[in-house]
Amino acid sequence: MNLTVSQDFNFKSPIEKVWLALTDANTLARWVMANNIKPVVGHKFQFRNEQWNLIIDSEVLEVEEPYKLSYTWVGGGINTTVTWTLKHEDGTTYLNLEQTGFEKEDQAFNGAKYGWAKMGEDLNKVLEEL
Amino acid sequence: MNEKSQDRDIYVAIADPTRRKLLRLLADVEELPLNELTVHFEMGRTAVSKHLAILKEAGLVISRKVGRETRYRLNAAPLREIEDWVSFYRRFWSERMLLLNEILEEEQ
Repeated sequence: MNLTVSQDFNFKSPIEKVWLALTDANTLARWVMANNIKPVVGHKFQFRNEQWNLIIDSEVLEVEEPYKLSYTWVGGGINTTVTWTLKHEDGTTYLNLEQTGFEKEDQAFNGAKYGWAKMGEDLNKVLEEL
Repeated sequence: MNEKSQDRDIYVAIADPTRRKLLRLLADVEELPLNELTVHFEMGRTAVSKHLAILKEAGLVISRKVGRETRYRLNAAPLREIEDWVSFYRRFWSERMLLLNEILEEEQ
């Protein structure tokens, strides 16, 4: 059983732009959730979705601009760490995501689970509107 | 035993090779008495029984008394729940990336 999410993506954008999308609260809010992230080690922040009553507590663990960003992702029934790794080659920015430490915290995640599923449905609508 | 401490014990439970082997043995059958589990190990009944107790505390094994023997069966649900979360986040991040791609292209 593999308890890690590991995914690779690539974008035809400069590495600085992808870094900004990961570390600028306003940009990050457009593709993940409302948040008050700052790329500063030790900074505590939250991802929030009021509509689904979902709050993720996070703390920045590692910042290596523009190559690496790591923070905790605690809430919705899990206690995990999210790590982004970036590299740029021949006009393409490669982005790797690792989310580790999956371990169920409590039984209070069913509501959140519903919320997440609903969010996925709504995301398609957002994509169409862009 | 409340849910919270059970969940924390899952990882302790599956960290040990003897206990992982016990789970594998139980995965192939409906249930097994302690004697039939013990024959697969170099250790005695008491040691195997202690490992089974840890698996029971983590909610991964269920036991019942039948006459003078104790029979054990696997309860994989706690592991499956975690696996569900992992697969959920795989989808979640894939969807997020599509959106990020749109945002990045829009800005060029």
